[in-house]
Amino acid sequence: MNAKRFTALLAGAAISALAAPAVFAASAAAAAGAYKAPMNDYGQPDLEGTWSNATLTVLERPKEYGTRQVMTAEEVQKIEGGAAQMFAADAAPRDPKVKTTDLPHECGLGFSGAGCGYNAAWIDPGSTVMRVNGEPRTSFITDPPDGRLPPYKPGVTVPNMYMRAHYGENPENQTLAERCLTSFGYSAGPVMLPLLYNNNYEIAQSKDTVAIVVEMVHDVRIIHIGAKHRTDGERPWMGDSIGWYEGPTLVVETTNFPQATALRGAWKELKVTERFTRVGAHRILYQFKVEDPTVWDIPWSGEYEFSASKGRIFEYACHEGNYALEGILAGARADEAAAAAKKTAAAAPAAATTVTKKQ
Amino acid sequence: MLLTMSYAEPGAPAHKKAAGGAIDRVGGHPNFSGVWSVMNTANWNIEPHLASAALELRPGPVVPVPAKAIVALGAVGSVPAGMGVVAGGAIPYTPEALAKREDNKKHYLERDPEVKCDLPGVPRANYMSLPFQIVQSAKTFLFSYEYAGAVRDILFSDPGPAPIDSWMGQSVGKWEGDTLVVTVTGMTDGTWFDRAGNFHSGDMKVVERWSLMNENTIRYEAEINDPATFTRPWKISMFIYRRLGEDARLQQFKCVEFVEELMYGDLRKEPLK
Repeated sequence: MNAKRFTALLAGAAISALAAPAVFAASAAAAAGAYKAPMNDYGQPDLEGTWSNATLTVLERPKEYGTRQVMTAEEVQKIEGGAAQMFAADAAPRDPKVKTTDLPHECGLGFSGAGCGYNAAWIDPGSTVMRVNGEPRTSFITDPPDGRLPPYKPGVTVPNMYMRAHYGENPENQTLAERCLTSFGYSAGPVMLPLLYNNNYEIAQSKDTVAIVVEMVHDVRIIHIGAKHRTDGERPWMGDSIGWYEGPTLVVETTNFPQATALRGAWKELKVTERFTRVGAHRILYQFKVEDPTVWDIPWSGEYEFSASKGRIFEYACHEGNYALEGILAGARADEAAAAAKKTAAAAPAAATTVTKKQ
Repeated sequence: MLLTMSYAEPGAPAHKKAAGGAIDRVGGHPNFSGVWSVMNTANWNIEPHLASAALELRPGPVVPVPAKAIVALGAVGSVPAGMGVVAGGAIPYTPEALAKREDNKKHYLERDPEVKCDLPGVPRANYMSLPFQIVQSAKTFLFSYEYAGAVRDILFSDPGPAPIDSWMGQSVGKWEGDTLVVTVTGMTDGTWFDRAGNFHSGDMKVVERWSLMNENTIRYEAEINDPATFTRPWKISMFIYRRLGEDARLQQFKCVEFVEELMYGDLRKEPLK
């Protein structure tokens, strides 16, 4: 993938227009409109199926859009057309003589060198701008009105989940994704956010449980309907999710997040409220509200729509094929051995000279 | 009594109702939704076995003793006895495959995929000591296993041969009366049946039969077809029980992080002594 070009396309599409801030849950009824969501045999709104949140729209709004929530048709065409061009170009035959050293040193999205060889065959970030109620959106976040995270409270530090201290020293120093413990990014959430690939989910509903199968690392979110949050102080992976139904909407409230999967720095007092509303035969409106008064002075919220996937979810057996973690650690040891050998070699002539002098 | 009869005859039709409360239904079918687990020792060894000192033994001066790596666990490292779940008692291995099973036992610690927290495959996933949850609706039948977060979804429309092998395989289901019959194919040869070295090839086909005998008891049967490993198809059968009340919450057992020292400890910057 030419990620640099991809980023440029997104940024280049930004121009200003009217602001249209949304209020959490307010647009659900409007979006639901005339559509009547089907009910399942348990008398619940039927959310089952395989769904995708792959999209060219991102969580935080590029600053160029200001407080404008909706893209113009021209902006949409530019972004979607650009993405289509990029994928077409990527699919074109390559010169087999090109080496990794011929790749650009920096190609955006954190990729560089050989990492730029992550071409389109390996990714699936979506090909369209996110539509919510038919509107092409500039970001998922709708509140604050600028579509961006609110300012952090003084003293709050947000570790970069991709940058770890003591990288390569121990398996525990590596990212959760490299260890196959969770996805990179925040695929399972909550908030469930799309990634560069594998943005597929399956929802299954029984009377007292909603299970959301997340393709990445085959995580399963188990949501306990009508239950209470645990009070034992334990913090399971993906937090502790309880849910209930409000008319056509599944509401899920998650607390007790573990520190390891902090959401933009928040975990201890983090509460995420999600609302799933079927707004069409092939669409689920997904709304979220994020609160942690120890991290932000105000909550932030947003929305997007899942679209129905035609296929099924295949197994992402990450750990079973994780040769990368062994390679990272072994590579770090090899680097250390090479550095030590170089140091020894550099010291050797001096030592030899010394010995000669003594003789 | 019906339960006993069924246990003695794994191939016999499952009884719709033996005892207990009424069976809930959804979509016209018995509703298996809930958290379930076995109360047997099949994951230790699906064949009949007495208790023994350890999963891997080495020669001792008088009798075999636990492998060095297991000694420190004492009684915790020993194997509990079980009546076995294989119809007829013994698995009908080919001579070559039987020799491999015996070799697997000698190298248990390095070969059992459970030791490395690999996905368990079918049927093993169903009778590990950890529970699993079934989420069933009129159109969906999903298994979420506590062990390693394994998951499998039953396809009620046969898509044809699995396009790619996987650890949990491709499960295609159909209802035969009140019994859910699931044909599982497309599994790798990386999974085992238990901790006793019992294995299969990548061509194995498993046909499972899931029957609710009462609201809290499943009769589970599976026929194993794998001509590369066995001289004939063979069956396992067992009961699986509903977890009730506070026990009916699936926990998480993401064991990947628990095996990092085992798998990568020697690659630390400063390996532990």
